[in-house]
Amino acid sequence: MLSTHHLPNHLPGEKVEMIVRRDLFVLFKRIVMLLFLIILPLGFFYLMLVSRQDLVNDQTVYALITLATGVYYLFIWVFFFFMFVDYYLDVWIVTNRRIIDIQQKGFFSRVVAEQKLFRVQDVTSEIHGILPTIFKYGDVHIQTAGAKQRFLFQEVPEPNKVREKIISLVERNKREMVNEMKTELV
Amino acid sequence: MTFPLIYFLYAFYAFLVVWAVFCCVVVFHLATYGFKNFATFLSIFIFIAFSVLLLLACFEFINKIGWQTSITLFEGIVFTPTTY
Repeated sequence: MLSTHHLPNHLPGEKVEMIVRRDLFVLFKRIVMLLFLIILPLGFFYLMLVSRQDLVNDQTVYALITLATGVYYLFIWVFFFFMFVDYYLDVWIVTNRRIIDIQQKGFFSRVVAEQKLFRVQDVTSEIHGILPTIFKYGDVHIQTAGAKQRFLFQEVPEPNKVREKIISLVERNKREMVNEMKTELV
Repeated sequence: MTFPLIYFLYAFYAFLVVWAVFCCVVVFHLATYGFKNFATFLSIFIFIAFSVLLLLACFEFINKIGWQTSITLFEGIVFTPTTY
């Protein structure tokens, strides 16, 4: 299990500065979709009761409808919960030394990448669209000199504040590194 | 062609096995990769509790059905090979 006190490859003196997830509105959109999928069969049953009540009274049809409804709701539930897991486990951890990008991709795929703060060259925040502007969420691009040249924080809340925080951490980290090098030289 | 209705119930059980595998994967992901905090444990609890409730509701309806009846499909339809 992940813990803020036991990060993967914990560095000496490393402190978690920020844990960023997608905006809650992203989860809310998924919940609305779930509610729609829950209501959908109810509308179908209502139409069926109104138009073909004889079908509901047929035991075979009733049995098939029961099984199909069971399958439908069980799968809707597990897929909704997986959407939540996808939201919950996609996380960006910013420490005073590095940025860790953890992405859950589908049921059986997980990607963990990290980048040292001193390698960060440029941080850009973007807000596009009506809903992101209203609810203040967007993307933060982090340009680095590493192998994976660009980190992307997707649909995070307050991207401008996240960008400012990362820039200040990068500057602080670079200053600390210069001081350490000076002390070593002396 | 006549076959017992219970075949559909067996197909449902087969589906339940697949569903249970997906459930285990979800719980495994949360338990392994989630943060060690109350939110993670609460999420796992809600998922398991609601899954059990859904299963109970399914079996509540399933138990009311007489599965020993048979279904007849294609009654009165005679399949004849096409001759040219």
